[in-house]
Amino acid sequence: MAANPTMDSVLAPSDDVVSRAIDGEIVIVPLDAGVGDADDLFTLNETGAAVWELLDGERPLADVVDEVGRRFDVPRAEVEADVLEFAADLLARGFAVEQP
Amino acid sequence: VGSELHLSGSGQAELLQAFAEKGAALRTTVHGSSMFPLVRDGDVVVIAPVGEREVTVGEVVAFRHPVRGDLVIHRAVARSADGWLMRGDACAGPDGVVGAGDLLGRITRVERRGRPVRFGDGRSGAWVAGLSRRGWLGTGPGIVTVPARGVRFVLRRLTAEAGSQGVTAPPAPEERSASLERLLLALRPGKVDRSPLADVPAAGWIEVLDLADRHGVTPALHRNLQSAGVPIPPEIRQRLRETSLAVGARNARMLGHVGRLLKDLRAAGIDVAVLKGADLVERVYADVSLRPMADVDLLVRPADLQRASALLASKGYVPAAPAPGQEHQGAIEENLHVEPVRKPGGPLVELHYAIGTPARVGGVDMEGVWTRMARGQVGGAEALVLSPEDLLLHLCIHVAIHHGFDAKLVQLLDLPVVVDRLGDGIDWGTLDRRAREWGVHRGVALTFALAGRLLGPFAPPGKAPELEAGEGDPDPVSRSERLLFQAGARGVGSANLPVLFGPGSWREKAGLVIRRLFPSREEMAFTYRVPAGSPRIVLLYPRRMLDLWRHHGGTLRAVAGGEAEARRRLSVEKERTSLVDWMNGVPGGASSGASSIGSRRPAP
Repeated sequence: MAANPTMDSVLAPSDDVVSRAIDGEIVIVPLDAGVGDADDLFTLNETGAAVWELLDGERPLADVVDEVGRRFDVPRAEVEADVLEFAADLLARGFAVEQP
Repeated sequence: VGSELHLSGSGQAELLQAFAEKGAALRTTVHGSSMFPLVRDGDVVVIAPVGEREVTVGEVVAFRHPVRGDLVIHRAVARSADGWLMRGDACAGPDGVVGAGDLLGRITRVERRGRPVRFGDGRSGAWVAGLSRRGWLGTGPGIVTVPARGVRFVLRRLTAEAGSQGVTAPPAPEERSASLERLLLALRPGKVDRSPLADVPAAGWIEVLDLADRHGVTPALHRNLQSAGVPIPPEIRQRLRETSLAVGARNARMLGHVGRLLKDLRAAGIDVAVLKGADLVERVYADVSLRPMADVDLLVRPADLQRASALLASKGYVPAAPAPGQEHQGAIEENLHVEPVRKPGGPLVELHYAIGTPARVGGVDMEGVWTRMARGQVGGAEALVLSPEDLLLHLCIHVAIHHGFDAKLVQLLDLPVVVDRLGDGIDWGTLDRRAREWGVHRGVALTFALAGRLLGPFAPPGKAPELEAGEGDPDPVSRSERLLFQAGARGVGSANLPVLFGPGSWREKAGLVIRRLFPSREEMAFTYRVPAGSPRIVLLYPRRMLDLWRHHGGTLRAVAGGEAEARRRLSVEKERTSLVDWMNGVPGGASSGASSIGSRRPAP
């Protein structure tokens, strides 16, 4: 699995996690970590949640960057670096998978 | 993201020491059986600072365990040069010698169900200590420990009640406590004047939250308080939020597994419906963090039961072992599901083949239930769900007739939430008619009445099933409320045991034993997932005996031996059984021996 995504990479949430909005936050819950074990949850901040919701297994990261930049009014270069870093983290943790 | 704060054992001891240094007493609930019968699981104890007066042999004290370092409440049974020899009244051996520096407090009061009890205090303590030294008091394992949470929140209670010694007047057992009244007011659906909640001090909120935790309504309480803008102390808000988050995460994970299972079952061509918690969370509460789920209940047709079980097994689900100290939830035909299964990291899954109760299952038109089902989404997968009327009937049957109100408040809260959410789709006339057709009208009407009494009116006036005058029980609603809130008064887990120890004839009792040991081949086939005509069924009867013994052997031994606690539980069970019998229209109540419910497991 490529741990270093590029702007052409297409990512989708892994089948091994579920994400839900809980009390106003997006929480990512690994499925096989043990029911009732609340220690290994991951929440996303607002921008992280925006990126997560755009990882639909169809659009490349370049499109995600465009959309996030538009939504949060941030320079593209900055968004690009953040999205790549975030995507690499998601892949490394197994929360997302790269589509062929 | 934080899960709940859990203090380590040594942390508890340190906290208690810090409070002792302030000269204040703690009041908290203890768990364990090592001081049985004088101090029991669920008793409330007051721990006062040791102070100037030396601990005398016979006193019950809180101390840091000499080996493990955690907080223990046991009796000082002898004095030595280095300190006191400690031992639990029901323990096989002593804990060891504890020096003055590790004494954290003395127990000055023990309350059970709101009333103070003698616990071998005063002069009798020395006598008890003498018996204990000689090992004459029993040989139960275990220790009485103060739960981390209890200590954690006692800290706050102490701050708010400094000077009052931390002791509050216990509520009269027959009346609702102030905490319960507050909780019910906060949970009422819709626009309710919640201004009486504005002045509740932190200590009061802690009691409300403890009660809410026990009854599975903390997330709903959180949501209601938030939306009503009730001012609450920040530490209480934090605890509410942590609980909601933990419930949400746990549910999300369970629902993720449900989604996988639904897809697999569907791919195998098996019709499956989602019952209770998972359906309620997705369709009714529509918020993953609002309602705790205990397990996953799936309904398949009897003809698919074996294939569905095999599919679960192929996905790594294996028969679930009972939790330590919990009654085995094995294959028992009364629960209308096969032996629960679990896989590592996955939820407990129960495959049901019918809804209703054993006595009434013949009355439930299961094909009709299947025909009326709607399509829904559970855990991201398509699923069948009960029609609104069948959903309400099933919830009522489950809490009232199946569990005899050995249940949690959240199971009653489900009713107003369902009515609010699915209200337009509910045909009240059909609901009432079907309740009569299934033979569950009393149970359904009683559940609606209790939910209305506790949480305020929620059904359109005159529409919900109503109890009819002259039905024989003077006040079933009050009885059901008592059974719901009987703190720590879990029954014996079987409605048949009261019959066995009741005044009925030996012929009746023998008949009951034989019926329980040798159910019909058909029931055995359902219970143990073998084909109806299989010759293996005969071989399964010994296992059936073993299962029954595993479920009830301990209680049987205790009741036969006359243990006070077992007898008390038996009397609660009698009360429960007689109410269930009334709901089922069985004449004469529990003592007639014609009990219509069978083994009962603890409510989820």
